[in-house]
Amino acid sequence: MRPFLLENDYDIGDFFDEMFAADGSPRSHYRAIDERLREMTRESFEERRRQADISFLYQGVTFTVYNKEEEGIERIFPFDLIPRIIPQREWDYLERGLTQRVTALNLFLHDIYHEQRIIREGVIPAELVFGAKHFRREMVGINPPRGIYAHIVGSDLVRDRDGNYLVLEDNLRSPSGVSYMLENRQAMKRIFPDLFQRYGVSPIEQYPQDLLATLRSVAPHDVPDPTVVLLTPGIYNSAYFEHTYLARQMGIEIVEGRDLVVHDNHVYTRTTRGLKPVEVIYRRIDDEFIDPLSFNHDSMLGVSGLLNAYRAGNVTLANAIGTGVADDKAVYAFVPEIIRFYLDEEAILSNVPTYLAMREQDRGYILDNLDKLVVKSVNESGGYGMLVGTQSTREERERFREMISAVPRNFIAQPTISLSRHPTYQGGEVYGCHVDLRPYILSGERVTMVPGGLTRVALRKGSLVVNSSQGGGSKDTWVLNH
Amino acid sequence: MRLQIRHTTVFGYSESINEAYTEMRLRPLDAAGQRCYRFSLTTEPRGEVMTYVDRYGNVVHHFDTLQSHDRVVVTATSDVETPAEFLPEERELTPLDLFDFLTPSGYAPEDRKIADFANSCRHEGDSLETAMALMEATWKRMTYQPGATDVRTKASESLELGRGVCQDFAHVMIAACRSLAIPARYVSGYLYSPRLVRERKDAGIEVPDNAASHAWVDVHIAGQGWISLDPTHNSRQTDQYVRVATGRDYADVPPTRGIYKGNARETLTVQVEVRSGGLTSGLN
Repeated sequence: MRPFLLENDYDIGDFFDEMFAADGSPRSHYRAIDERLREMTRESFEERRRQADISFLYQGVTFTVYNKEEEGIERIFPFDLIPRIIPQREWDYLERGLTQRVTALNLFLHDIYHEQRIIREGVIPAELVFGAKHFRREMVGINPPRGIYAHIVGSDLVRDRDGNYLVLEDNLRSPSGVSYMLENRQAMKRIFPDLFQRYGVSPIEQYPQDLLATLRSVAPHDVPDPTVVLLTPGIYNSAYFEHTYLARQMGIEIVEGRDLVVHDNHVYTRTTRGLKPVEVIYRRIDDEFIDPLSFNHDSMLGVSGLLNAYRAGNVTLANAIGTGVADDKAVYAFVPEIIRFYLDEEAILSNVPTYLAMREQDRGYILDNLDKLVVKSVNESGGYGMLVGTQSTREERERFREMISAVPRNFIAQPTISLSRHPTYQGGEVYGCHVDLRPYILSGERVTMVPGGLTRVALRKGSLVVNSSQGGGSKDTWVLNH
Repeated sequence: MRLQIRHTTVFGYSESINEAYTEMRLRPLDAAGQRCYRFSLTTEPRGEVMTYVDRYGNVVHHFDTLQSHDRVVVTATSDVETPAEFLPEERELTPLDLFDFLTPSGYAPEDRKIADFANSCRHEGDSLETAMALMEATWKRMTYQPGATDVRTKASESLELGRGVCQDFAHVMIAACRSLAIPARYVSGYLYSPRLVRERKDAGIEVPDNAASHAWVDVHIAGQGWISLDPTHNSRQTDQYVRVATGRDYADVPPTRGIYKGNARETLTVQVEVRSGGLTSGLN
């Protein structure tokens, strides 16, 4: 029986490889897994992979793809057995950096919906903030409990060619994917029960309870035992699996808009025994659809009168309305200044260098280098509305040139980052695939994170896009406790 | 001038509904020298009426109706003292105000024809002169004609038509001011003018029951603050004007906004009475 891992001459390429140093030797925190994989036959590896697939299928861990050819198709989220490993000191650094970032972003949100100091002092242009699609005038003057707007944040981290961590984007609306993080761990524990003890992997299973504690800690003040519910847009949402999963794990009810009713500024669930008060709503519905009285009148998903109950302080929405302005990709470019302004500190984690099309000199550079840059529409997420210059066609570039010239405010561009790669088993061989990392940062009474996150993998050979909606997969992420 | 206003709104439904949410902006403002001494808003069927202050400083009354009904009557009465002349508020514009009142909005979009229209009124270096000229130009250019436009008509469309009602006059002037970088906002309220009602009736123009409802424009002049101008009558705001709400355009200040479940058709009837010392009048 031949060891399989290196039989195809694993090629590190001109990238930072998470597992192997440039000379081909495994990094110290990967040494044990390297040995283990060398002992394994292809057959036994394949067998475990099959077990994982079956377990995901039984658990119903799926997501929905939106595209023309396969409209509304539910897929198993592809899972790769080789874990991504992060040593503790590296994690400590990430945790400090993300805590700083999220703390500053919450202060930013409070400021722009109140005094607007950061704009008065000229740190960030008014039109960038007030012209953002997700800036909500309805939130001006509203005081959410503890002054927190983004209770759950998922920030996407990548590593460059030298292994430096960079923040690629922040997600302050309804970041998804945490259920995959939890399910990946469960699957790995079933498949490699002995590895965890030996390796000293920090647990992440407490995430749902941490989330529940965070949600309870931001309930309206005078409620001793708040009722928390999860509000979903329903079964057609691509993350519906995650909604049911988290509700079950937290032991709270999952509701749709029609299950809730607002009366005299208080929110209730309709039950067979009458109306039952609700104090905290973990909502996975976008702002536009959450209250047809105040936002999109045609929305059938939301709850009429919810914003007024929220404004009156009788219910907490997590995340708050209007957080999307802080993950606008043009505002992102200012996060280092935002951190300096509110915390008087330098950013621990760097941004990816970003060109704003609204700045004239940046725009010229972007239009001259469309074939080299990654261009992103500021309001889109999930890898939609994006041009990867190096892999684009002339027509695509021309289309973006027109769109950028028409509404510069809506576009940014970044250099193509040579994302780090991680050995991944695909189609019978192991090769390097680009990865990112989405940790989940909770803000309630304090800021907490479970050690880990969702490592997403661009499974298509050579692809840089890791989003699940764009053919990505995931790995279990191990943060070591030593 | 001391004015009493009675604003009655009847929401009728073609069949019974049992879940409706309604917001109303009807309370006269306490600002710019105006004082609202008394305001009450009651609903039939009866229900708790709650309030909040929106981002533009307007008072919003709102209520839900969670019982089977095919009609809701809302009666708002106010007793208000209007100043002999509009007193500009001292308050400086916040960065958000400046952005909002300078940026094109849904009813007052950016438009080539409006920009040309505005440019013809430009008085270099004097924005008050410019705003006054814009008011007069709007008044001259537009013909007052109820029915020519509807509640969804944009400034660009009504300018093209050359006709409209007070809402259209206001939107044209607002869009024009903004195109010249003069901050402008929409004012909704009432105009008490027995003389104009009589004139209209004599001219054979139908005067509807809610004719006292009116809309005009505030412009912000550096060093002076807000100045209030009415392009429908080519006049500064006088003591016959009652200010109720301000915003970027009509979309921010509709007197009623509501939503209900069910397939019933809704009909809205509004009646406004403004009195002073026993006189009744309405005019837009």
